[in-house]
Amino acid sequence: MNEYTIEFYCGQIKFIKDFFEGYQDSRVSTYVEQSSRIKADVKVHTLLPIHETKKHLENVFKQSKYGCALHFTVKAIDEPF
Amino acid sequence: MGFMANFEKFAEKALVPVASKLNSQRHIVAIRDAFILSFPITLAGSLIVLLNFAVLAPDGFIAKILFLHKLFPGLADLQAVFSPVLNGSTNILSMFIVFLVARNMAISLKADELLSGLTALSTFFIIYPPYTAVEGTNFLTTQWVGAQGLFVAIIVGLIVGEFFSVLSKSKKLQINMPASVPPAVARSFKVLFPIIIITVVFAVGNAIINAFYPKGLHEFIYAVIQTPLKHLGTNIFSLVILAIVSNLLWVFGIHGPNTIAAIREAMFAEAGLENLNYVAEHGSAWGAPYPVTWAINDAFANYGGSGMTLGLLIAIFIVAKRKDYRDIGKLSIAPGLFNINEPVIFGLPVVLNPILILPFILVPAVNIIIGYAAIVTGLIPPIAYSVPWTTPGPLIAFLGTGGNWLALVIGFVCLAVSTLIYIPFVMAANKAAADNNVSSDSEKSA
Repeated sequence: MNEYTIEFYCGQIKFIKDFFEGYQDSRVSTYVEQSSRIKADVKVHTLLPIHETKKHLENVFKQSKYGCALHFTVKAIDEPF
Repeated sequence: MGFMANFEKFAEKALVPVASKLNSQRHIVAIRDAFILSFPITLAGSLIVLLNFAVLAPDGFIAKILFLHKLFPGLADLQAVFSPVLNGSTNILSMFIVFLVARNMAISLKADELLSGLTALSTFFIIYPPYTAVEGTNFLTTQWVGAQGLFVAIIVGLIVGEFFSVLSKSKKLQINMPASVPPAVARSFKVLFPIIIITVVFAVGNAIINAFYPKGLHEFIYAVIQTPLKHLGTNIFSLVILAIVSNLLWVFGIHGPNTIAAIREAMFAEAGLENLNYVAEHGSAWGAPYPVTWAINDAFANYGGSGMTLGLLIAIFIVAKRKDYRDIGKLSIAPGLFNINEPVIFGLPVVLNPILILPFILVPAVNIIIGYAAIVTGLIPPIAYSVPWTTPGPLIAFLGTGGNWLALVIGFVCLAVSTLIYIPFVMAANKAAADNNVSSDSEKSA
């Protein structure tokens, strides 16, 4: 099992925190490690490699109730923008 | 609680749910995605027309620079090869839209999307003005398959998509074939009755409307809905307000361009397409019928991405003393040249930044007005060609006008103006950082 920290940036970070706190599907389980005004560090447990994990998290959030309306960006920790 | 905190609260409680509804409401999404899906085809058509006149025409700007007509004397003859391109893109855009809207509706309602789209296309032509016989040959007008038929296409696509999806789920209306029947045949028969019902309803409705309004449904909807909306869209105030709303949503974390996309397309699509048809016909953007289209925003107010952040990056390189700003600036310049600004939006950040919100909204509005003034005073022609949104900065204005050099200069003027507007705010950010350092130092020493 891999463990990654994925950074989410958004002006409405509350919606990202609410979504990923205790989120689980067949491929990932997540919790929010820490957050600030526009950033949330999401800890992910998964069998996927990191780039697929990022894509998966981005997609599942985009398909959520608020994901389609928000402007956000995702990156692995220490990865440049 | 300050203004910023109040607005953040308002955005969270009110704007995000509204934007979420707008971005997930199936009718709006069906329209928005139909335009997004047809965009590559209209863009390809526009670029080929641009190349046709820029490279192949004797007075084209690339032809002149490279003396192409001296090198290849028969080059202009090749223009005829590419002239029909718009006949397969913008000139039949309404056919794409009616199909795609109904298809998108069926996807969201989990029905047969292909047959929903085809039924809508069939219905579009059931209510189409009849053939006209001229010297024994029947002609069908092309007036309503292009930009002028867009609203009928949208309305038909929505109605057919909705009813087809609902009716096709009714078990009583399904014809189920034996398992031995090929899947494509079984699929067609399953939705036969819904298609017959929709066809009959539209044929009867069309006959009734024609009895009261002999010019037909297309003419009626064009006069009553599409023309007023087009006039609203070809107005500088609408353009500035939409740009402000889009950028305001952006800085509060809401996807502004997506949220306003359906409204924007409804208001601006026809005018933009008619400008493109004009250049295809006349070979020049001078005299294009609509000086105000959404293209002004892209041509003068979107360099570096939303908020014209290329100007912000230049301002950072000129006056920023903060290391974090300069580092983000260096990181952001390469994507910024192609109008991608995530690094600067989230890296500085611009989102929820009380110092940068005002210029982020103000700069595009000012630049739209500069571009508009240049067009209406006749300095430059209207922006008539569609150009990919990743085209670097002022080149969008240059290419969008078909190679007008003054448009390129005005593009650089807009970039300079945006830099000048951003500079005091970057200086304010310097001061805020210095003040923070002083207060944190004094807290430490206390």
